[in-house]
Amino acid sequence: MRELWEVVNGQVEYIDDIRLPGETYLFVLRSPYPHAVVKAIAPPKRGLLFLTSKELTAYMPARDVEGVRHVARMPVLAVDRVKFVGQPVAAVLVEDKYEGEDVLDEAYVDYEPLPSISTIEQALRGDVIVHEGAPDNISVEDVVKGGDLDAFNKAEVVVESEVRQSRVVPNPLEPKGCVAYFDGEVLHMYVSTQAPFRVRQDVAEALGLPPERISVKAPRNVGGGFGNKVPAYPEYVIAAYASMRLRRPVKWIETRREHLNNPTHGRDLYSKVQIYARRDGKIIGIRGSIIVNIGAYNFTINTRAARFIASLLMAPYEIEAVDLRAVGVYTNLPPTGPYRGGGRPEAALIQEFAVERLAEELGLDPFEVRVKNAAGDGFKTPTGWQLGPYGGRALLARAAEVYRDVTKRYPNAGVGVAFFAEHVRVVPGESCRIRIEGCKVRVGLGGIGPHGQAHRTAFQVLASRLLGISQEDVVVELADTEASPWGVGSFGSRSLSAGAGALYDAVQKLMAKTRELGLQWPRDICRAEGLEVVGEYKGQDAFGGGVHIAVVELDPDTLRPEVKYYYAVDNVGNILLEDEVRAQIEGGIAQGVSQVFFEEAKYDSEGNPAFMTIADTGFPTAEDLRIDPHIDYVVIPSPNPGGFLGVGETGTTGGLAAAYIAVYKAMRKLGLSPRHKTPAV
Amino acid sequence: MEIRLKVNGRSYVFDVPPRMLLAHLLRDRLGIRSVRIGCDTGHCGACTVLLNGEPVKSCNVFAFMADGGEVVTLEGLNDRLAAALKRAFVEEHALQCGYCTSGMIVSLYGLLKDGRQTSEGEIRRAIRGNLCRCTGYTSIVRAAVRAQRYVSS
Ligand code: FES
Ligand code: FES
Repeated sequence: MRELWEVVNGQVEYIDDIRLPGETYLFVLRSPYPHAVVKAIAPPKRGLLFLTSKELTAYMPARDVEGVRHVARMPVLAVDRVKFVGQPVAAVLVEDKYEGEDVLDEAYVDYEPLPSISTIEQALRGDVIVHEGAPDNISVEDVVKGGDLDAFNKAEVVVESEVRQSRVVPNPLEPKGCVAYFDGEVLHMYVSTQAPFRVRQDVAEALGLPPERISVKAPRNVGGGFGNKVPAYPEYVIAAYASMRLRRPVKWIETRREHLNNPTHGRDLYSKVQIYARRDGKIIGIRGSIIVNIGAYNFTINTRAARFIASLLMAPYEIEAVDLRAVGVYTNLPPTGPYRGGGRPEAALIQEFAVERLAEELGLDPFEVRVKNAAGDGFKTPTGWQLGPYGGRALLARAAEVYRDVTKRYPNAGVGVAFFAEHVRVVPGESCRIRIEGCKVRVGLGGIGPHGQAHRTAFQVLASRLLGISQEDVVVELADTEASPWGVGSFGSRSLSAGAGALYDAVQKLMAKTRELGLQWPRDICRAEGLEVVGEYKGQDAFGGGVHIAVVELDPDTLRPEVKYYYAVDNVGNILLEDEVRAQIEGGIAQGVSQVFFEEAKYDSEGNPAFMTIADTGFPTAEDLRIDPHIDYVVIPSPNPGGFLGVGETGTTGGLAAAYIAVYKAMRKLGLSPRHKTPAV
Repeated sequence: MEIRLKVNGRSYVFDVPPRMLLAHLLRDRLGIRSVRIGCDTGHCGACTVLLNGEPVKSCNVFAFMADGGEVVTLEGLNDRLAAALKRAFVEEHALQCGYCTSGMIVSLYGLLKDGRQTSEGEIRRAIRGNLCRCTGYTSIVRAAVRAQRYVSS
């Protein structure tokens, strides 16, 4: 694959490789306090520009706020108060980047510290009020319910389970960054992003600019995203503003130290659910609550987290009723956002642990309980998701033998099974522009922002197939608001499903146009010079699914976990690049397992970080994380054009739940009481 | 201060401030992109280069400390072992976002350059200072094993 060869040969361009003549550097002064009044700010003596909220009063947009009880948008630069450690307070622009930190040191801020909180329990007790408009610290409280609620009365057993999922630092290996410059007409931004259109919209709203005057483009390479690189961040807004003030390019590259305490963190939720069932293991429904610690502000889509998780809960089971409370609370921690899987792994963990506990309580085989309750294709969940041909029963059938085999082979280990329906976010679609230039076809999918998924190759392969031309004659342009009229982004396992839909539409239009012009395709490609068409796709969300089986042994003395065996079978939809599918699933599993074994961004009860380095957050090394999963798949074409699904998150969805349950059971086997939290060891 | 440095086979004389890190010298003065910054605490290994033949984290070394030395980055690795590693990385799909890749390859080059057969444990030890968020490491270990096969065959 050419894309991979480019990387090993060093032909790459990450955000910090972009160097514009005359560029200046942005450095940000951050709050050392979790909660404080900002009494006075004294500027440094040097620097090209010094900014506080006095000059730049702007707020980061919060999405999905309909029906939300309280909305507290995060100021770009603190207005009167700071509410988490790391929050931007002031900004300085410097000529020489090596002097940035020294110049920052010259600025002085007078703070008056206030009491602060960090946990969901503290928030609900109301120990401290984070925002005056939300005296109960609740931002969002919703009831997610559906089906026949009377059905709960038929239950013969009710089994409760609770889980606490740790706050994690997304830690893409390349931190965030941007370069902004204003040419007098248009504000140009290079951003290490998964979603250029989203960044454009965010910056436009924050600064009150029309989006048409902003152009956002990702560099050729983005060094990982994991949900962290979807929205715009305060620093992007500051860089944009400063570049307009200075009329010079402004660059901001996040340091790892900044990344550790910057929005957005992932996960951080508590769930307590009751599963209602009959004695024979037939599940009737689920009740309970899901509470997400969204941190100090409504940022990006963190108001959606609890509701989305609740809506996905029990998706692959044919149950009758769902009645869940979905809550998002404020604390003095950095705002959270989607982190690899964005709700899917959280839901799978809650759901699968509940099913496991039910089987345990009833003395039934946990795999059989899953088989008994598995929804068939076409099931519509009580919360309204249409599963379509997600393949649940086929997946269980495929995994059954492996399960029987490993339970025999590893009698001392914990065997964790995760069965899930994997949501693929297609809505609201993508657009694609095709243009003939120099006898080649340029395919623009501006919304797709790859960050390690070989999308350039995938779309090149698909386009060449659809157009009946060689791959060399296809040039793919991604992650650029100029490459197609509109777009959404690469997250929610959506790029190929949504992108292919748009590409199919554009190809059809191109074919129609060439016919109209009396050209014969592809023979007359050079005569079609300059021809341009725009396609789009606005299809429905789709579901894949998976069964993951983790076999974990704990060292009886040190409790060090060892993955003895790992099996994953996922419905991956039609396949374009098989190696890439495997790689995505393998890496995804590692990230899920890693949270169970190691990862937590620990804070004290007042919201001071207890971690100083990337290592302190539990980021595993090659010696810590040894897992060689056996990856299997079934191919059931999705209803979307091309029949594709997405595989960026399915590994994590299965990995988190399977490893968690495996550790739980291994603990039980050792006669120890499980922790009911991640990390689980 | 003035330092002399050989980088990827070419000799340079630089005037550097005492605080300048080798990583910054390589990136900012020579435009070497394979040297990447992923942290500020010497943990991630994205900046790994060979200094006098041994893998080091170039963000952990002041430029003046390398005075008189020889630096090789991914761009300067052109022998049979390097070719084997690169090919094996592609074939085993041992990279996704690619940010860790050059550091990984340099560290593994340092491990395998003597031609000794190494175990999986040794491979994992050699890259424990190179973090990867995307792959879960196993494909990287497989690539190292495969590269050894290529050079020994
Ligand atoms: S940048 Fe050198 S170790 Fe992270
Ligand atoms: S490939 Fe992304 S960090 Fe290793």
